[in-house]
Amino acid sequence: MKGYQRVALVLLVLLAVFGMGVGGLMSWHHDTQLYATDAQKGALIGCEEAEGVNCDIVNTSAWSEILGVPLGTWAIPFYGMIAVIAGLALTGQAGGGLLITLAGLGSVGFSGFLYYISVTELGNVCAWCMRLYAVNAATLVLGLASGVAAKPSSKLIGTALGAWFGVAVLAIGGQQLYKSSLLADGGPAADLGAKVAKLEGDPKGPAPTMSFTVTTEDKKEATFTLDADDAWKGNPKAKVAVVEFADLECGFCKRTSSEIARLYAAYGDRVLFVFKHFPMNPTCNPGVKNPKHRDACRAAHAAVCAQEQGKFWAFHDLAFKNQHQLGDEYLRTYAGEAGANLDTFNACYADKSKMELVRRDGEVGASLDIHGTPRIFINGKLYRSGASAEAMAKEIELALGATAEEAATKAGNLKDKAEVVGAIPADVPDMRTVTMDGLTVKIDTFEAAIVDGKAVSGKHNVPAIRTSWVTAKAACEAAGKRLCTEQEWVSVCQNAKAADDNQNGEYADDMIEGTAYPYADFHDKTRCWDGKEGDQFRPVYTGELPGCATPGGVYDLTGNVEEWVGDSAGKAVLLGGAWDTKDDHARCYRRNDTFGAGYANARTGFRCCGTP
Amino acid sequence: MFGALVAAQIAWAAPEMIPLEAMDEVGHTASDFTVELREGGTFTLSEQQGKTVIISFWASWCTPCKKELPALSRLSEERKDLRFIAVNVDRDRAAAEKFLTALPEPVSSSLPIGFDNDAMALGGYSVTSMPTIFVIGKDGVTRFRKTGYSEQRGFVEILAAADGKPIPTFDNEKAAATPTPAAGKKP
Repeated sequence: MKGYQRVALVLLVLLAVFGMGVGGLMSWHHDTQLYATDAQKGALIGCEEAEGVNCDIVNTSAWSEILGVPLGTWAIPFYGMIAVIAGLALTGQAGGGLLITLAGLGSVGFSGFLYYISVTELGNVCAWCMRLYAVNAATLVLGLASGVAAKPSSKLIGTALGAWFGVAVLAIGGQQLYKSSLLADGGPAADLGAKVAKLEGDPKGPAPTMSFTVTTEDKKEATFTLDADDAWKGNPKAKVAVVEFADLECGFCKRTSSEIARLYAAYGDRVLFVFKHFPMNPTCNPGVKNPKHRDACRAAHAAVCAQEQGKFWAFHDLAFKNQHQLGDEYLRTYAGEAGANLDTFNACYADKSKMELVRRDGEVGASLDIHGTPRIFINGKLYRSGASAEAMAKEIELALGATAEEAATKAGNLKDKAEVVGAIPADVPDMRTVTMDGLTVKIDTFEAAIVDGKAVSGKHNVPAIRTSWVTAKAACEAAGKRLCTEQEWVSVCQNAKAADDNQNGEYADDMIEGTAYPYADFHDKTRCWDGKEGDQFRPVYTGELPGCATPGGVYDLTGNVEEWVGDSAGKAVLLGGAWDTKDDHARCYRRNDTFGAGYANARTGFRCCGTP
Repeated sequence: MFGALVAAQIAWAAPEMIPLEAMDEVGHTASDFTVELREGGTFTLSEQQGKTVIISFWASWCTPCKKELPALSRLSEERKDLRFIAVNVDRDRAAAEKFLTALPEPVSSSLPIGFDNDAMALGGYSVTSMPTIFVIGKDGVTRFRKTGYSEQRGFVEILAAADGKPIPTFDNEKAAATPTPAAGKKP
C-alpha cells in the first residue's frame, strides 16, 4: 500500500467518526424539537438561523425521516460501516477502496437529492446537513484515492454489512429509547392543559347530498358530489354550498378559515359549509406527490376522530389556532379541549382505517385538479387562497338570487361590518374596564407616557421607552395605579381569560385561549405597528393606529413598544413585542423574560392597571 | 376632487413616529452602576474616575460571547492603563458560572466579572443584543458602543475610541459573528 493511500484511509476513519457524531447530534435535535417539552429543548450549536438557513425546519420536516427514523440516525450506521471498511483496509484487506467509493457515490447522489428537496420544498438548508454533504463528497474522493483496482472479497462485504447492521441496531434502538423517554416525561403536551370552556358541537346527521359542476384549476369540466361523511355546518337544506378543501397544517388555510368564519357568521342560516380534507402529504392523500406538511395527515386523522364524536368544528378551530403545534400529544389535547371522550378518541386515532375518509377526499380533490390548499368551491365556482370573505360573499349573493348590483352592495356591507376601524374618538377614556369569564380588568387604554414621574394614558403621547420594570412600577404607583399582572394583560389582549395551563405561574407560554392578536386570530400588517425594520423605523405616538385595538377599545397592546407586566420583580416580563419584532411575531403571547427587572432599552415601555 | 384627495391623504397618512431625538443615546453621561464581583466585593463605575473604562455586557446564551470574553481577558492583560469590567446579565447566576467554567482558559484577574442578575446596570445602557461593549471616557461620558464581536475585527474600534483616535470603519466587512438579539433567545 502506498503512503498516500494509507493517509486517505486514515482520513476516512476520522471523517466517518465525525459523521457518526454529526448523525447523533442531528438525531438529538430532531427528537427534542419534535417530542420534548419546551424546558427540555436546547439550541443546536453550529446552525445559526439566517436567511435560507434553518436547521429546525429542515431537520423536522417530513423529509427528515425514513421509516420513522431520523436521517441523522440512519447516518450513524452508514459512517460506522465506512469506518470499519477503512480500518480493515488499513490492516491490508483488499477491495475496501472500491466499496468506499461506491458508498461515497451513493451518498453524494443522496446528498444532491436532499439539497434539492431542502431548497425547492423546504426553502431552507441546514448547516449540519451541508457539512455531511461535504463529508460524503470527501468520502468519495478519498475512496478513489485509496485505490479501486482490487475487488472486495465476499468476506469483506459481509463484514461491512454486518457492521452496518450492528451499528444500525444500536443507533436506532438508542434513538427510539431517547424518543420514548421524552414522551414519558409528558412530551409536548406537558406544556398544555385543559381548562378552556367546551366548544359547540357539530350539527347532527349526515351531510346533505349535493352535486356540483366545476371548472377545475386546469380548466377542465368535472363534477363532484358531497359525501354523507363530510364535516358540515350551516343550513343542510340550502341551495348554496361553500366547500373548502384544506390542510390543517397549511398557513394559508388558517388565514382563509378566518374569512370563511366571517362568511359563516353572515350566511350560516342560508348556506351550507363543508370541509373536505386535502393534507399536503402523499402518506394519506393520493392527490399530492410531495410531502410538504409533516403533521398534516395526523391532524386530518385526529379531525376525523373528533368528528366521530360530533366535535369536528371545535377541533378544527383549535387545530388552526394552535397550528404551530400539531404533534400527537397536542392533537389529543385539542380533541379533549373540543369535548371529545379521550378513550374513544385514542382508539380511533390508533385505527389507521379511519383515514379512509381523508383518502377519499384526496381522490375527489385530485379529480378536481387541486394543486394546493386551500381551494374553495362556492356552488362549483373555484376560489383560492387569498380570497376575501367579501369576494366570496358576492358569489354567495349571486347564487342566492341577487342581481349583480345587489350582490356587490351586500358583499360590501359584510366588509363594513368586519372593519369597524374608524378614528379613535377624542373623548376616549384613559382606562377601560374589561370582563372575561369572571375576570374583570381595569387597564390603560394606551401605552403609558411618563410625565413628572407619573404614568399617563392618553392619545398622541410619546410612549415611555427605555423604561425598566422598576421605573414602570414606580410611575404607575405615582399615578395611583399599579403594573398589570401577566394574566390581566394577556387576557385583555387575547379577549379571553388567560389560563395557566401548565401551572408554572406564566400565562403567555401555553395554549391560546383567545385570539392571537388584539383584533383577530390572524395577523394583519395594517393594524399594529410591528414587523418594521428596526433601524429604519421608530415607535409611533400612542393611538396612531385605530385598527390596533381589542373589541373593548384597548390600543397598541401588540407592537410599538414591549410592555412590562408583573406584580413583583421575579415576575417581571415584557409582553406583546415591539415595532421591530419581525414578521407576525408581535402576538399577545409574545413573551420576553430574558433579562431582569432593571432591563430597559428603546423597545421597553408599559401600561398600568387599576382596581376595577 | 380636492376633498377626495384630502380624504385619501388622511386615509393613507403614515402613523407618526416619535421624534428621532427620543432615540438618541451616545454622548451622554454614562449611567452609574454598582455590581457584585465574582471574586467578591463590588465594582462601581463612578469610582473609576480618571480612568477610561471598557464595559462588556454578556450573557451565557450569547454565542459570540464565548469568543469575546477570552479575547477581552487577553486585552485586559495587555492594557493595564484601562479599566475593564465584564457584566453578566443572566437572570440565573448559575448559568453564568457554568459558562465561565466551560471557557477554554480562565478569565484574567484584570477583567473582573460582575453580576447584574436583575439588569439594573444593563437598564442604563439601552442594550438590545449581546455582547455590547461600551467605552466610557475619563470624564464619564460614553465615547463609543459596539454590538457583537468579530474575531477578524477584534477590539480595533474599542481601542481607537479608548485612545481618542479616529474610529476605523469596515464598510465591506460582513458581520463575522452576528450578535444574539436579546428577545431572540426564545422562539
